[in-house]
Amino acid sequence: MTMKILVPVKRVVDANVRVRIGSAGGVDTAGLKMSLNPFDECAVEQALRLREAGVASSVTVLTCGRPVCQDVLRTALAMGADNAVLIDTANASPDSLGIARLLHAFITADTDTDTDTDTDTDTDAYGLVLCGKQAIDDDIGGVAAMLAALLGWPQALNASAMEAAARGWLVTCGDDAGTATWRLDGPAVVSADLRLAEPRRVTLPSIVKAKQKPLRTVDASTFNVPLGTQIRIVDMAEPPVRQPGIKVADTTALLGAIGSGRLFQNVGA
Amino acid sequence: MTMRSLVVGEWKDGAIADATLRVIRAVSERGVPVDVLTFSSVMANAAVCLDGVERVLLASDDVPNPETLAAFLQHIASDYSMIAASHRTAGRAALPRAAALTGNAFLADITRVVTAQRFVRGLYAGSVVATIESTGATLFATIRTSSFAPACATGGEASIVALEPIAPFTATVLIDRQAAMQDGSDLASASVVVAGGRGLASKENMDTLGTLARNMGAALGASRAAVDAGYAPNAAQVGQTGKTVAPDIYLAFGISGAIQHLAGMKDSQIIVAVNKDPDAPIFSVADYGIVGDLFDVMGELDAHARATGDAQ
Amino acid sequence: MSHYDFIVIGAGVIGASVAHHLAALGAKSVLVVDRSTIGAGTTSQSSGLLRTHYSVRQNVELARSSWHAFNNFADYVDDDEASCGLVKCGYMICAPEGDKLAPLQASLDAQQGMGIEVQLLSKAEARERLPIAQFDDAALIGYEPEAGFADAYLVATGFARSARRRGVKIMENTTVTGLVRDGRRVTGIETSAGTFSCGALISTQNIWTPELAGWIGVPLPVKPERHTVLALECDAAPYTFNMPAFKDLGSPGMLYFRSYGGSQMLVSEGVVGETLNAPETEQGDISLDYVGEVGAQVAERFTAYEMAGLASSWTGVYDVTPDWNPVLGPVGDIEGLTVGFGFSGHGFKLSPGIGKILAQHALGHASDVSLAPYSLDRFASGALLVGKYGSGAVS
Repeated sequence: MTMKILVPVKRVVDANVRVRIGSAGGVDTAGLKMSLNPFDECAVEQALRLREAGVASSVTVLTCGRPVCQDVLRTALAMGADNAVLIDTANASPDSLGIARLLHAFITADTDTDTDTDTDTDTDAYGLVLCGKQAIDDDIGGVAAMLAALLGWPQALNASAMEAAARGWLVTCGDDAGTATWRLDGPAVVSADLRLAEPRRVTLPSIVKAKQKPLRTVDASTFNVPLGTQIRIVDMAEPPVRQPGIKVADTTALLGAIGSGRLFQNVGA
Repeated sequence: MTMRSLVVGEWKDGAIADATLRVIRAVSERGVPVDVLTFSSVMANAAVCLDGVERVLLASDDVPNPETLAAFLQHIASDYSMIAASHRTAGRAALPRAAALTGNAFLADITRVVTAQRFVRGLYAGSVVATIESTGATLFATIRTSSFAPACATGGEASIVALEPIAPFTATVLIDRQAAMQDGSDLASASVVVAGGRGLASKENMDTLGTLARNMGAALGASRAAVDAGYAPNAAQVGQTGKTVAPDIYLAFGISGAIQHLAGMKDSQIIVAVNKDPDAPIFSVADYGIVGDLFDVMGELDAHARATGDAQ
Repeated sequence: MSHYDFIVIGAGVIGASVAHHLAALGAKSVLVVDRSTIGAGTTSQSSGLLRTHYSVRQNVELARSSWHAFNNFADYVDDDEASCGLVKCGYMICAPEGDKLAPLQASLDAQQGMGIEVQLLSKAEARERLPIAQFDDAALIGYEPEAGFADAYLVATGFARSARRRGVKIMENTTVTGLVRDGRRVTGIETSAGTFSCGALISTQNIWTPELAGWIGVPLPVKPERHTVLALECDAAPYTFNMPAFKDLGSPGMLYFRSYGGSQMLVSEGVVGETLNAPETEQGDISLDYVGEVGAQVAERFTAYEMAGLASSWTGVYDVTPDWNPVLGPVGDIEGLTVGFGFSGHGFKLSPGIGKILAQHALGHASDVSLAPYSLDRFASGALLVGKYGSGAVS
């Protein structure tokens, strides 16, 4: 059984950039370094490995946003994804539910229609949606479960390992107390933790090859999903400044201040 | 009027979890009645005493998988303006799913309740504090329990309401659980990080620091200066051109604290700095600082770590 | 209100060097002010290359005395624990047939004439030193053994520590908002922490020099230029610490290379970068197309790097003047003010020498190297210090 893998990705402010609140009271990302969301990068990597193992026939990366978001699609193509899709959301700023609805509509349209609207030639259906567990800008982590709900598919979040199983997937997920392994039957939505797969480096030849791969843009309006949001940011502020600490004389004093339990929380684990 | 709040309860070590008590306290600040969802008669009976709880809902005799829990929540969502759980695995999996099933919004890791409709949470790994207004019918949200005190576990007199059973979601099956295996080697997710800077002065000394990290079950990190000098591999670099980490404890040995390094670890819960130079910038962000010989402190911590390990 | 004999604005590697040298030369009352922390500006983004190869003679002198400082840093600042992170791997430079060949020959000759050890290498000798590169097109290959790279942030903090030990006061997180004047004389600074008066003011404000221009009403020609640095990984051909730093005049981007961490390759362009609208050191976007273009140039010289992976990338900023050389000395007829800005990408490697001559000038001593050629008026008089390689940071 082969199928296609869909990897939804997000373009976010680079993890190392200091975000500042502008005079208008919001975060102005113009001019800031933007990158492929690190968790999504791991998802792309895992998808590529599944394709290389013969489990999937192709990896499609998709993002919802403005045309400028094409750069992260290109990065994913340079990593090895087969084709890319940009869903242009124009002036809308959909929340997690809006994104999930767009993805659901995209997958449903892909499954329903023939290949005449697709640029990939195989007729495989999507058997796996693999995304990052959260975006590092809003840190909500809702899209994966929401998309699974709309699809009626099983879900596994915060995956640190996965493999194809007879009827679906075996996924090991980080848990409060350790990890848990779940069997998911049928097509599924899995969200990636950083531990799932260390992303491969983009290589110079792959950058060249990526330019030949298909990247198409679709208007969000063609999917007819409501994109209004039910949450509204009314204020943004800097967090309280980290209070200056204290000097302690030596290791003994340090252990007294922090507590050996906390300092050695992982010993013997 | 459907202005009630529902708390998805958790059971831990034979009692209602402390996390649940904190979520109850959090949603109580909305000023509307609070119900708690439970998953066994034992749990339901324990929940009736909780202070501030009006009704205890009994869903099933088993903790359902996230998909089944989401289906339960879908059935009862119209009775509530907010459904909350602690920001832990179960809630983070079930609540967004239920939100999508009911066409509602989901927020994660709320740290403050301002009004029945207004909440505070962090963006960009907490570097921005955002106040959010919810305008939908039912808000699904996880709560950062460390931001709230626990509600009182006694004094309440709730009534129990048994819910109609629903068909479980069978396409997801739990195969196995594994206890936390923090060998700590994964820098990005480690809860304790031991990092070395230029002050280590050699690869051999960095290797000694690596041994301390191993004995502490910690991940080993390094500053760019240490990597540039060849003391540590590029993969260990923490900072602007390396990894960003936010462990519970970050121990910085011989790291001066250049802004590019701080950018990669400033969100650590506790920062400990050991450096010979009292003017090193790292001391201005460290919660605890030791001005002294790195190798003395490394040796003493290693001895303590090994003693702790032997005792277990 | 406090008074200091000398106030230095800017605690980057240049300002810290000035502070150390002022104190080492006997100044007893020195204040350094920085809007952030020591070395937190463009200093921390420096690639740290050290060489004495320049086509402008005065720069060779400054580079030579600076190299001596880096090579003996602990002694130089009188602190056993001080280290500048020096990797003494040497510096190789090559040019193909073409317009860079004659300038390279002239510079190598000038260096030798000044007693600096420069070897002319055959292609085979060059390959021995840098086996991961090919030199088929090289018409001339120079190699200076007394060169390499070091850590600019370490040097800035090393100079700052030495300065503090000698009684200099350094105020971090303090923003200068204006100057205090008495007629033509600068007599103090206004800051977020109050007003301070001084006998003499030294400005080492790098890309923030336009603020000073605003305070004194005199245009100071400097622009912030952002440059991208790539770290490439190629397991088949690691760039190790014993391989020299390398300048490829044959590449369109005038690339420079060095080892990064003992195995990866750090590479950056030496031509004109992206001019910024405002002074800032935030990271800029690096497009994959750019990586591909630079990568193609790298692969020309280092053939195995055709398959290299991009390990990381970042941007740094140069304070660039119209002739890619610094402005040192007084400003017009203003008294009590000395400036040192516009290092255009070679501030770090000249920082010990520059710090010393600026300190000497402020103290009224003769300076080891004359400041005259670096004067601000050269832009008006046309006596530009143009490097023979054209625009770009080789000067």
